[in-house]
Amino acid sequence: MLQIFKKVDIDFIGFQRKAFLLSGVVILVGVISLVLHGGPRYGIDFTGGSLIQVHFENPVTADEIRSSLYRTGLEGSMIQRFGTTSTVFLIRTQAVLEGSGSLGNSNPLEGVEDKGNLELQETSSIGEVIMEGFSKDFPNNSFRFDREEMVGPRVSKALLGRAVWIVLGGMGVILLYVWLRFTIRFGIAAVAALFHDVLITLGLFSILDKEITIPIIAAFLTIVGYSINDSIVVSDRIRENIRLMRKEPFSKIVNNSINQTLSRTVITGVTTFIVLIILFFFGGEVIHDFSIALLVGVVVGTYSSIFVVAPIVVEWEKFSPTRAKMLR
Amino acid sequence: MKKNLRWKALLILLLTSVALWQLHYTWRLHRLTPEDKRNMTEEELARLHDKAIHLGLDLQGGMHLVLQVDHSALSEEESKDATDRALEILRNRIDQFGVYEPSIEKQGGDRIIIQLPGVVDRERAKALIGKTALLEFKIVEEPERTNQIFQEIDEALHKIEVEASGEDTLNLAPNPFLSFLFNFGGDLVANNRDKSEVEKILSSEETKGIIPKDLEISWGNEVVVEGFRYRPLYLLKKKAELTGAAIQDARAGIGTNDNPNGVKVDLTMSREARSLWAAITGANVNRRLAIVLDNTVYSAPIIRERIRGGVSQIDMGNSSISDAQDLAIVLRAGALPAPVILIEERSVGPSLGKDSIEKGIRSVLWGGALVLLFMLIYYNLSGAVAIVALLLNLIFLFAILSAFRATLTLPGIAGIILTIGIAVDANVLIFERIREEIRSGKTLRTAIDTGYTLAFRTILDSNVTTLLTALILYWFGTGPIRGFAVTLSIGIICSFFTAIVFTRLVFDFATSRLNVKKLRI
Repeated sequence: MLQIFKKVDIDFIGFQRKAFLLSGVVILVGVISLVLHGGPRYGIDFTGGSLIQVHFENPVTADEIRSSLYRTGLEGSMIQRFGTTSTVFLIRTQAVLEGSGSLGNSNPLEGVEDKGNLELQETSSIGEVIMEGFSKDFPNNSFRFDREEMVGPRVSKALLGRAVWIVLGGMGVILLYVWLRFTIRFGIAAVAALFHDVLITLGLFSILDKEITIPIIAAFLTIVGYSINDSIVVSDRIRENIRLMRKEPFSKIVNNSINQTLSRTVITGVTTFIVLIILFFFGGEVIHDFSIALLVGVVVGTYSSIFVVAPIVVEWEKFSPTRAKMLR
Repeated sequence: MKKNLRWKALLILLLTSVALWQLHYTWRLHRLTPEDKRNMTEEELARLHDKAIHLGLDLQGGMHLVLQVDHSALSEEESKDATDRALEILRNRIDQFGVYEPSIEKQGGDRIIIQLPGVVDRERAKALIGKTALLEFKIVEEPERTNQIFQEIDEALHKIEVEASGEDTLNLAPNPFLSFLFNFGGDLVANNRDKSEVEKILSSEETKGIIPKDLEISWGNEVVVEGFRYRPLYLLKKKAELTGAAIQDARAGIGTNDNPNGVKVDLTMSREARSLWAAITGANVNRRLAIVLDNTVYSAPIIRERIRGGVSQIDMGNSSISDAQDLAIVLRAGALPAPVILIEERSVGPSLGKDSIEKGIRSVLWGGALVLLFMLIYYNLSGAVAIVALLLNLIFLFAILSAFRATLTLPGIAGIILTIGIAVDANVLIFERIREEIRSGKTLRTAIDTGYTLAFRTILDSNVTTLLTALILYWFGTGPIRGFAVTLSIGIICSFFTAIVFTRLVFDFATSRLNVKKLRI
């Protein structure tokens, strides 16, 4: 029988203080980064704007693209090389053209300065504006748009509201479920761990200067789902051990439960991690950030079920013992 | 017990064959060569497409558009079914544009979601959809009267400027308005660069009162002369003599009255409109009639005589023939009851879609293979059982996806990968528990029994919570994110079945039928 842990007896609860300190520091660093950046960096899903992924036949530089965009009046755009070759670029701009060209002059181009080089009012989208500029500035290089996204301001506002509801709603439902299946304090401890996980991931995204988009919100909710999985496995064991080890002190029961489930926690963590690493390397650029969020989430989620959920339950028990109630 | 085992095995066998049967459509479609497709009837191909797994726009390429119908200019009565009428007209246009399996649906009171798979010329499609296509025929005001009104505007502006600047009038231009305009081939035209300046003057408070209530000013289509771009300015009767509702047929063609290479759209009026058209043209001989599309004058020919046949023509100037064809499409389909505004777009080119699906499948295969290898090494023969369970899980997952006509998106593939993790977790929980029981000295049968019973509760709790988060994601999410929620939910349910019921069946079979005494776990 191949085993990772032969017989483990690690004093996890003893690490409690250090763990709290570590979590605190990591969260603090993330929060400081968030404050310095003036909040999370939202993608066009939540700010409104346009995103275009352009694929050139021959390599070009970001500066060439920038000067072409400058000439079309889109100088505020962000240009980012996509992948490892210099042929694919992402262009993001806050400018949106709500409406369509044939609607004529009733739809001014928001956020775009008309330099008189292009008939902005006549075109039907930012994409077309850029396309015209590129055909003029890169006459010997063919290109195609692989992705075109435009989110108008009224849609983006609604989406941000929805995203917040998704994450909070997800946590709320989990709190309710864990409360029903266990006790309220397991529920609160689990949700505290979820906040911990999402906050750290959010902070790390801010440090890495990555955008929060709708897929990232989906990743957050997946982290929530994964983290709660781990917390439930540990909590379940604690509940079982309370029946079996009636004479032992509560902190010992919790510690034993963590040790007993440790091999499962590690194996599942490692296998999920393997799968996500594959997704990170082979999944393509489009879901790159998505897999980063999940990778962070798996590590943090595994950590929090041991070092956040368990200590909270232990401390709470010290404060007001309710062992008898947990036996129902 | 033994009988029970047989029924369970039969059930799983049955379910697996149903799932494989469902999946063979996808396999067949995937294997079709272009030549095979030509040999099949359209109906057969459509049926195969319908039964195979549906790919989202992010995987096969295409456009996702959200349009908002602008109700602001409509009366309450008109506003009531404006969205439904707009939807109907858009459907007509898209049908004529020729897109395979378009999806057009209403969202809320005033939004329309359009999904067009595999569209390559996205700008053209957008122009076709966004056009209001309000066609109007309006009489042009006599040139004398027009000149007189423009003169009045000019004088009024001049007076204001003089008053504002006090004594020093020498530096002022004598014609603040007319200096923008000049005569070109019988039309008053302005340089395109001055368009916004002219509009500002015409919409100012001072000039508003000068233009009579029954008249309005409209721009014409751009004309290019020696590299300069001009736009004619017309003073029109506000009331339309006839609208696009009178049009029965519209066809694109080449060769207009003044240009043999000019692009045009020929219009044929409906039977009822013909006599009206004859009366209108008869009453206005020698006057100019403007053909106005979405508030832009396309041409304003002089009526030479009464027109009886109910025909007319839109002069498209230097436009391409495909522009004319698109205009003919929208005119045939009819005008939108109100302008539509594009508020959201998500489009993916076909090559990126193909790239995404290849990479997605590759990561599923690699991720799956590595996990399987790990399970085999760590849990030995029992690991092999878990592997079969995992494969069954994937078969069921894809079969259910295609049977329910769910759409597979890129986030959906990520959901599948996560499902692999969850399925493996369930087996890890069970196996670790059985190991513990064996270590504590229980017999194999009891160890398996207790292992499953104890692990069951944990797996249930953890799967239910993940399922709940997936449902919330489905509830609030849009588009591709829903695809993630769908595959994750189906995956969890399948994994609950395969990881618990199927593996249990194998272990029970091994212990009771094969009399296995020592488990390699």
